[in-house]
Order: sequence, then C-alpha cells, then structure tokens
Amino acid sequence: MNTELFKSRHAFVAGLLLLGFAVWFFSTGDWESARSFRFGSGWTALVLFAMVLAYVLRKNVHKAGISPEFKMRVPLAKLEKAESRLSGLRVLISSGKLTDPAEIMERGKAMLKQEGVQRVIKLRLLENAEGQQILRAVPTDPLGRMARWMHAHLYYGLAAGGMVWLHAGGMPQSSMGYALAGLTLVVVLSGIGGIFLWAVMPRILTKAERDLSVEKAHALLDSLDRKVALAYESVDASTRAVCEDVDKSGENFTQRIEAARKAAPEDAEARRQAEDLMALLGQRRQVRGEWKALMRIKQRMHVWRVVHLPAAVLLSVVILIHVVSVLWY
Amino acid sequence: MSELPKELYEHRLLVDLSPKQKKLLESEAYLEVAPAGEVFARQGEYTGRFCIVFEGGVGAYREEEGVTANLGVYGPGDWFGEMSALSNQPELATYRVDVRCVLLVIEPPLFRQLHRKVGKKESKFQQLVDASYRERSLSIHLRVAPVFKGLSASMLKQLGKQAEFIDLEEGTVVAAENDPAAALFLVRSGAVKCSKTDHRGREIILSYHMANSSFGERCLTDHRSWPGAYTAIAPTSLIRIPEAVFASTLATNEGALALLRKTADFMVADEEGFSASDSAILAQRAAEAPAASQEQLEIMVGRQSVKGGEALVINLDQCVRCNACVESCVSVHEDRVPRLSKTGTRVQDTFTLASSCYNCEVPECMMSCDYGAIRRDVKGQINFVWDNCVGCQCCSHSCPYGVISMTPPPIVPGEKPKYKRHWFLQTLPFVGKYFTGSRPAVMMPEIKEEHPNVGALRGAKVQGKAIKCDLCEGLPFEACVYNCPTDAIGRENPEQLFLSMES
Repeated sequence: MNTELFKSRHAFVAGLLLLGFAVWFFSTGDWESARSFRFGSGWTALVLFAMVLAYVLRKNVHKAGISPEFKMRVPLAKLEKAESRLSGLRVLISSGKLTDPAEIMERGKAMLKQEGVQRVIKLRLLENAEGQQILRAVPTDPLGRMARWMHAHLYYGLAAGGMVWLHAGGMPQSSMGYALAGLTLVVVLSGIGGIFLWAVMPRILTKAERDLSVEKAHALLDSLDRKVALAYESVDASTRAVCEDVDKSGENFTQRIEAARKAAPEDAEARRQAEDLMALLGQRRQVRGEWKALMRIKQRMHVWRVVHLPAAVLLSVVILIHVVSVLWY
Repeated sequence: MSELPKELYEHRLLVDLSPKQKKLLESEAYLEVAPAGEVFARQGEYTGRFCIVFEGGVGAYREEEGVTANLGVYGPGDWFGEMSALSNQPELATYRVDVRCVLLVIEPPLFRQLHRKVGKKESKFQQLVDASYRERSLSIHLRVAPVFKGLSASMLKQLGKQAEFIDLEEGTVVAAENDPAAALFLVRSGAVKCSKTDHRGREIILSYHMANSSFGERCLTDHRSWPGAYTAIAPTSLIRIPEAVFASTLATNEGALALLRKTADFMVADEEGFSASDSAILAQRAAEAPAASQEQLEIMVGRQSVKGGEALVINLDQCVRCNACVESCVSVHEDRVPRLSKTGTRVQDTFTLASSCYNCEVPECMMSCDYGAIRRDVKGQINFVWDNCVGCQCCSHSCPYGVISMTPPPIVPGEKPKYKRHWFLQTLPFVGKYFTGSRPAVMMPEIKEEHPNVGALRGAKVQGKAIKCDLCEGLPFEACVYNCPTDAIGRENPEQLFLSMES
C-alpha cells in the first residue's frame, strides 16, 4: 500500500479545524439560534471547497500552458552565467575559504539576484557523506509540488464534508440542504474510495505488468500494426481476405492456419507469407489481450472518478446556488 | 565576435590543416574580445572550449586546499583549455583575462575535428596540443588518482613525461583476467568495466572505472595479476604509466617509491577485502546477491546505467498511471511533443528508469554530433542547439538509453514549429477525436547502417530535429516531477538507487 498519500501536514490542519468546529457545535446547544456558528461554518466550508477546487484549477491551467510560472522563464544564457558564478563560490567552499553556511547562502542568493534568476532557481546547502558542504541549485517550484496540492485536495475535501454536516446541524432542514449534504456525501465517499484505490491498485498493476507494461504494450501494438500492414501488402487478395476474416472472427489460429494454407495451396512462397501474416496477427491478438487486461486494472484504479467528477461538478453548482440564495434572501 | 584574422593559418597549431578542416574552422570558430578582469572559465565548470590567444593575456589560477596557484599566463600565440576539450572534464583552473585579449574560440565538436590525424600522420594541431597537455595539465590530472596523493608536483611531472595516451573503441579489452598487471591506468574520459565469468558462464561485474578514476595499482604490489578482464564500455581515453616508468623515474627517491608501493598495497588489500570503495561494495554485493538481484545489476551495467548522471526514476508502487507527467511535459514544450516516455528499464519490479536524459558523464550523443548541435552547459547538463541540428540521427543511435527521438523539422528554416495547444482535449472521452489538432507524431529513428550526413559540412538537408529531456530549460520547475500528484517520480543517481534497494 502506498502510504505516502496519508503523510501530510494538511491532514493535521484539516483535522484540527474540523475538531474546533465540532467542539463549537456541541457547545452551542441550540443550533437553530446559533447564527454565528452557522455563519462561521458556512464560510469555512466554502473556503475549504475553494481550496479543493484550486487543485483542479492548478492542474488544468498548467496543462493548458497558461499557468503563471510559465512567465518566469529566463534565457538559458542567464542561467548559465549564474551557474558559472556559483561555480566560483563552490571552488571557495571546496577549498575551505568559505565555511559559514549563512555567508555562503547570502553570497549565493546575491548572485542569483544579480543575474535575475532568483525566481527560477534556489540554493540548497547540503552535506555529503564526508561532511563536506555541497551547494546545489534546484528549481524553485513556485506554486509547490502537485503532490502537496493533492494532499490539500484530499484533506480539505474531507474536512469540507464534515463542515457541511456541522453547518446543517447534523440533519438537513430543506431540499437544498438534502441536495448539498447528499452530493457532499457522494463526493467524499467516492473520494475516499479513490484514495483507497490509488493507495492499493498501483502495486497490483505493477505486479500484473511484470512481463509487459501498459506503455510497452502500446509501443508493441504500434509496431505490430505497422508490420501487419506491411505483411498484408505482400500477400494476394484471396489470402488477405482469409487472414482478415480470421483476424475479425477471433477464432482459434491453429484451426484457421489450415485455411491460410489452403488459400495458397500450390505456391510455397505465398504460403510462407500467409503463415507469417497469421503469426503476426496471432502476436497482435495476444499483445492486445494482455494490454486489455492491464487496461482493465488501470480503469478499475480510476473508476471512482466516474462518480466523483460529475458529482463534484454538480456539488459546485448547488453550492453556488445555496450561497447566492442565502446572500440574496 | 569579429571576422577571423588573415594571418590565422600562420599560427603553428593551424599551419597544416586540411582544406576541409580549414573550411570547418572558418565556419565554426569565432573570435571573442574579452576585457581585462573577465573570467573566461571557472575551475570545475564544463566548457570544453579550446582557445588560442591572439592578443593580450590570460592567467590560469587553480584553487587547491585553500591555496590559489598561478599555473601560468598565456600570451599571444599561446593556447589553453586543451585539458577540458580533450577529456570532456570540468576545467582544472579558472582562466581570468589579465590584459584585454582577443581569443579564437574553438567549441568541442570542432576541436574533435581538428584533433585528428591528417592522412596517416598526426597533425601539428594534434602533436602540439598533446604536448601542451602533457606539459601543463597531465601532472595536475594525475593527482586525481589516489595512489599519487603523496607525490610532489615535480615527481608527477616526471611521470607524466613518460605516460602514454591510449584511445579505445567501445568493447576493446584493456587487460585480460589473470594476465600480469604491468601498468597503471587513469581513465581520462569514457568508462571501463572489470568483469569475470563465473562457472555458469555468466559475467560478474567486479567494478567500473569512470573518468578520473584509476586502476592497475596492483602493478606496484606483489599481487601482480588482473582480477578480471578490463573492457572499455564506451569510447575511452586512457593514460597508461608502465610499471618500469615508476622504477626508473623514482629510482633516486626511494622514499617516494616506498610510499607509492605502500599506498598501492593498501588499496589492493582494501579492494580484495571488498570493504572500501563503492565498486568493491558493489562487487561484493554482486557476489553475495541472490540471482534476481544480480540480474538487476547486470541489467544496469549492461544498459550502462552506471554512466548516467541522474536518472528519472518512477516508483511504480506510487504511480497511479494518470499520465500527468507526460501531459505536463507536453505543456512546457512549444512543439507539443513530450520528451518523456514512461517506457524504460524496470528495476526490481518497483522502479522504472524512465526514458529521459541522464546527462551522462560521458555524453556519447555530444561526442557523436559533428554539427555542434549538442553542448554541455557549465552545470554539466546536455543541451541541444536547435538551429545546428540537421537530423542525422547520430545522437539518437549513440545514446545508450534511447532517450533521443526525432521530430519533424520546422516548415520555415530557423523557426521553431508552433502547434495548436489543444492536444490535451484529445484525451476527453467520446469527443477527443474531434481535437486531433496539429500535434506532430514523434519520428522514431530508423536503424540505418550508414549515415550519409556524418562528417558532412553545414548545409546538409535537414531531415528532422533531435529532441530529448531539457530539464524544462529556463523554467522554475521540472514539469514531470512538479506535476506528479503522488510524488512517484523524481531524479536519482542510478548507482545509489541500486545500493539503496540492496540495503
């Protein structure tokens, strides 16, 4: 099981927030008249939903190539100049002339700033096995790694579910409340299912991929498709018809290879070509079968999205209606 | 930069260039005017540039153990940078302009063209550059071998005078198992593996020796035979110092010879005890490891992962196969062609060394490119110079990892192709087929026996452009690593990865 998905400080923050509101909820007694609690929990839930949506936004904005970090690109020459100056600093470090970590970092940062690359690379001062200081330049990752956003998505999403429940006083009071609570439940439960599947299924798929990975199967199928197309060109029309028939019917190849032989009974060369084509079709069918089996596991790993994504879109719409109607009336 | 001077070919290095070399020099070399105080190259940087001074002066300064030593001043007619250009190693010294100077700069691909035999005899360029390397840099270079740690600079200089330079093709056997060890070798560039065959006929790797590492210290000890066969696993350049040279050179200095023998004894004992060096640890692990692990080691050595600087490693137990890495790779490249392929070498069923550039210590792609289209930046990363690439596919064939692919050339020469950005819409269910867009297919290089463009001059017909992972050049992130939702992908040293898996 991949436990990395569960190791996050966001889980702690989300849990603490939810706990705080739960204490507040149970200490209020009369929920009906606790306007400040309903107000607070409602807005907090909205903020949490916004944080959950931020992950989706960040992912797609980056995919579309319009993420703000793209504007930070600096010419390679600038980076090289900065690296060159850092090399000078590294020589001083390795020769023992510069040992104070604070001074090293200060000088390094000043160099990056002077070259105008401080938004693209940052410095890390590490120690190697022999205890020597190593100055490394690494990407700044300005918006943080997607994995951290994923953690935030998971745990603030779970917290938002709990917050909706607290906001509704444990029991929805209207049809809007039922819709909100119901959809939140669906989204949260499918999300939990997703976390479980993402934690467990990669290992299962990895085991199944021992002989052939999905990516290699793709490449192999492409190559076989090309070879089959070429082999089809080298056989005559009647042999091609027999082979196409075999390929479409999906019948047993050993039975149908006889048919291929019969398609060219006299000509040994034509028969050999037909047999080669049959062998290729057989290989393709086998690879395709393995690929389909792997794809089935892959689809199972992502099946929760079929529920999660439409329900999340619907929930966003219902939240919007709820917020607008509450503010309006 | 300005035009090359008319008296260029009167320079003693360039006096006997062939017409083809002259033509190359005129089209590839350039003059650079550097003001006083400018640092031309720093110690530890990868530049590979070879420079001839036409005016002014450049000083070479080397920092070592807290002391800055002036290695010399290069005035008009002198040259520097041969060490880095010859061995593709980081600069041994910092070159600072003392007096405003005019330099002829020769980049590594051109240097390799000039540092060749003309007909059957060595060119003046080759002779003089090798001589200056022997005179100026070899004694410093020899110091990287631990066995020479206690020898003075003058002794190393004497040893260097009698050292031999050997260039080997991949697969050449340097020394056979059990033969008497009669020389010490320093790997100048390339890589050498030491292996032996077990009773089942399987090859067991004992160690590998990368650039700047040495082997053959046992020639100075009583353990005189080679423990395994030493074979070049890449085009390799070696420095060979025969055993007899040690005895003759250090005959008058018995103390130094005794120290050398003592150090060698210690190193060999250490190696045979399988306790000190990483290679020895690996050898021991290989000997002790169960068959499956040993197979992994053999695969990694066979695939030459040992040559890799840093590999892109996917932890398959964490990877949810969402394809975010490939999609983000697409989004950062103008041509919409991903540089990352998730196919690669699988290690112990859990990790995949993805097909992404390893920025090798010995960049065979760069060595094979005759067009100057591949260069190594100061940090050691391999970059493609788009405009220079003619699509000859030499780099993709020589890459040991197969990470270089070809993309169609731009329609207008000199312009990078711009494709529509809606490729990701293709991935939508049901409607994706309406968004096939203009993203080009990646041309997989065909295996050809001959490369008609190899060695040709500029102006060759552009068949395609080579592409590979550029580490998201100039951007503040490495897209695949940055956008992985489960932290399943990251850069790691393959050797360390193997050691961590074993432990």
